[in-house]
Amino acid sequence: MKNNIQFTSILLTGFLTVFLEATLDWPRQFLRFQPDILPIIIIYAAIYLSPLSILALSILFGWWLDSFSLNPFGISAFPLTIIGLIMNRFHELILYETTTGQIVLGFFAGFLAPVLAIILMLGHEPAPIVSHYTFLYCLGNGIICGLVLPGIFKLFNLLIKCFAYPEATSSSFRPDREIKRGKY
Amino acid sequence: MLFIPLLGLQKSISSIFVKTTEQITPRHVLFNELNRLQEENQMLRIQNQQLNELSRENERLRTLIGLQQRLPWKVRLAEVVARDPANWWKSFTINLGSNANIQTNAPVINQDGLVGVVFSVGPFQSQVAAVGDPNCYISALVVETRDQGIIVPSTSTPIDGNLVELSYLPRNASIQPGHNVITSGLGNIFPKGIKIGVILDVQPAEFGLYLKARVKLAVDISKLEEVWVLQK
Repeated sequence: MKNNIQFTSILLTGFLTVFLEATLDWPRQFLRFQPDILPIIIIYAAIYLSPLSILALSILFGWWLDSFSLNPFGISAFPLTIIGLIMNRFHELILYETTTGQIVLGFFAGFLAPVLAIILMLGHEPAPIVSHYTFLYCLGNGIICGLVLPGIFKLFNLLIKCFAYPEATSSSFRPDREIKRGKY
Repeated sequence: MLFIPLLGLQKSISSIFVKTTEQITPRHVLFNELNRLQEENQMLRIQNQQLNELSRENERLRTLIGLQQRLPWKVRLAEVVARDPANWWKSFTINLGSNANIQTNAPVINQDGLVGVVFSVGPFQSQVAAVGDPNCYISALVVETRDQGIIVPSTSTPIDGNLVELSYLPRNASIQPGHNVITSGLGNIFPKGIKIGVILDVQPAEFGLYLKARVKLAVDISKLEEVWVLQK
């Protein structure tokens, strides 16, 4: 039940994010580039969902993004899948519950996703516009993703609290302290 | 296709906002605007008459010297509904597709000059590659010197989306900053004479083999809301 709610809420958030990235113009006017926060949504998904769900979400997000873009269709799915699966593999080793951990994770995801997409497209003809400003964009996207990821965690946790059953409180019963009565 | 309901919702919300703004605009502002538009309309009518006369004269002269008549272009107004979320392309989506007979490689302009070319066509929307995108190379002509080159993306200053490069200019070209750049008509995709921009500076390229110039586009690509698609 909890996983279904998480999957659905992540899917809807990704859908809205792609729409807003394509239609909202003020971030582009203000920052001189359009931030892309899909990698950090995938990071959140990678912690709580199965590899199959991560794969499905990455492919859908990539396709939706590429439907608004001149990117070769489907290419945006690759960086998201790679980041999602790596995060899923190592999530038990990462301190993702601390704010600092979330900021660092968000930075790396936001920086790596455009870098991987550009590397994949270097062989594509015509090649995208790449220069030293592209590095600055990747860095800027990393910073923004780092700052937004703690908010994403809070938002999704709140959503899940609203819709899922409350977690069972742990009992104070301990079997090793049980006083057994009767004949022994 | 999946995003069409959301795009519709966005359009309805913005139209409600526009209607509300219109309702609260004072009468004297509207009357001033009406007077200004009437004056502008009269001016444009006079200019249109002069241009019609010139066009007829041009047709007559072309017939006299045996040149083929130019086919008139039809124009269709389109709205910009989305922009490319990827920062390494310069493209946007318009609200006309194959349902409006839009075809790939159709030139896209606005009142200031050339905007780009239709790159791909969907049933209800099309993707336009703007001037300066790697998918939109244009043969261009410097009006004052008649030198020809090709408009390519500017990799030196991509942070300013309104700068492109006019490359492959002859090395003996005497181009100066401030010269105007228009489409040359070569390649038969763009009609000749659409304004592209103004030369900012010129420098030699590839060890002096040719010249390249930075061009400030006449159209502010980042602030486009409506464009015209040309159809043959």
